[in-house]
Amino acid sequence: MSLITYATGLQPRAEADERSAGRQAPRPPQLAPSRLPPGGILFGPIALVAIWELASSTGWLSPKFLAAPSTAVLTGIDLLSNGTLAEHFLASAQRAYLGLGIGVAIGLAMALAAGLSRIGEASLDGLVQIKRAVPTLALIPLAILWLGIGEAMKIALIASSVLVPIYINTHAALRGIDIRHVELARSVGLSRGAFLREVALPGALPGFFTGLRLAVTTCWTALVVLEQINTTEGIGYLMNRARDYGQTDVIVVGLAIYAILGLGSDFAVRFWERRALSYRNAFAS
Amino acid sequence: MNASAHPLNLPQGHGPAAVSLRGVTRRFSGRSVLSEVSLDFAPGQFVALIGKSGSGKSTLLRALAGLDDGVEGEGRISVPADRSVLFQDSRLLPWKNALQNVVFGLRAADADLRGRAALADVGLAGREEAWPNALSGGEQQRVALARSLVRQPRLLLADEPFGALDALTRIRMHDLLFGLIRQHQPTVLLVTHDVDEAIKLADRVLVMEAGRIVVDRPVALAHPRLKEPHFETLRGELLAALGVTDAV
Repeated sequence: MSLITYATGLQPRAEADERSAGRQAPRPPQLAPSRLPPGGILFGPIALVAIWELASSTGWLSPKFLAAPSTAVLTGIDLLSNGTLAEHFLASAQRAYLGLGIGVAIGLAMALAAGLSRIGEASLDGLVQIKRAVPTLALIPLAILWLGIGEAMKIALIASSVLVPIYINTHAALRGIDIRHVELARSVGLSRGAFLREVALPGALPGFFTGLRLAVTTCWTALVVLEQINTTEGIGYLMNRARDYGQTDVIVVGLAIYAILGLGSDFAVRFWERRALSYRNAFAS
Repeated sequence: MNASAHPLNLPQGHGPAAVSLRGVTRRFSGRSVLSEVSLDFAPGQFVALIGKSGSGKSTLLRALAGLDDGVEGEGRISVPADRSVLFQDSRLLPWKNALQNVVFGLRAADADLRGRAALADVGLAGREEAWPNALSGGEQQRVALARSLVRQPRLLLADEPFGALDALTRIRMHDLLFGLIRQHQPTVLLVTHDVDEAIKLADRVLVMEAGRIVVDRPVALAHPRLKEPHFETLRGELLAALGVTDAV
């Protein structure tokens, strides 16, 4: 009681002030981190490059161990201007995208066969699950014996690793078709063909895109390993040769190109996905 | 309960019934959900079916819609082939715009034209291109209503179509549905929880309990019915049949 009298007596406005500003409810503890500002995810990569550059320029990081980012950029410009990079880049891109295209086509066909018919599922699903458990790289010896050490083997292996994520995701989406939509289709007397076209396939499209995003990453991962085998062109060949000559700057250029291609492919798929699934982004006003 | 125990409730001179059920029974894992239901609906009759949750009213509607294959049961059902179902959720396909949803499965040369007219009928002219995600709950249900009526069904089966809507939207939907039903003249079965909704709209109210029709009552009130003095009497009677007393 005396405390209240004392406080109000000395500072007549204190109580009002306390309510409006001073005695605000204490800030609740932040339970979930708030969202990053745009471009916020670039902080980590930029910081890494800055520290790396600093370590190189102070001589702490030897160019024999790892070239400085600035050296790699200069080397990259050099390789670009004399045409070497374009040649190897095209060879790699052709391999990766040919393998991707074939793998997507086969994976999609298998997913449709397994997702839309019982005999298809009985024949294919187990096989793909087994294929999924066997690492692609473990198939290299057999693939070399069957297809030789040329392009056919590389493309076949890229395709075989790409078809798994395409199949798994598209098949799951086809199996997970909303039973309420099936009921609606029956109540309006839709034919089986029309049901596939208008309900099953559009409904499975989000799953296909999830698979495709995984597949583009997979195809580049497979490429890196396969380009270590009997190649005379390609980013992997460029990097292997650089290793023989101890050119860490060229190796860094190769790594950067793989990163750019991987991110670029993912970005392209996401862009396509956003357009194809634009109905998802519509919200009630 | 057999057919002869119940008056058929056919208006004079209307020919054969639009919907007829004889001894319809449905069981889920041995438990009877519909027991020997026999009913006749006259052409153009608006029938409301009320009952507690689990009383079997949705099972009856699904049996009439032909959506209950695989369910154990017997009995004879005769319904028009051109029937459409209005579900509780609007059940729009999210990858089709409003107009495409309305004409979904409609095989007619002038489907597009009819779809636009149906959307205009439910007050959604100009929203043909809108994605379902961009529509409010009430608008989505209006698209669903347009989808059921564009087929010009002889039987409309509505399964608690307004149950998920807010009270104000529901009142608007009642007016809309009532007007459109008058215009198209289908036979209607409206399954609902809402006694007021049933009395407001229907020519005949059925109360279902444990898989049987326990009340079958014509509603002979003039429209607008909320203003009718006998509205309250009928409401009390139906609530009592549902085992509810309205004390507050």
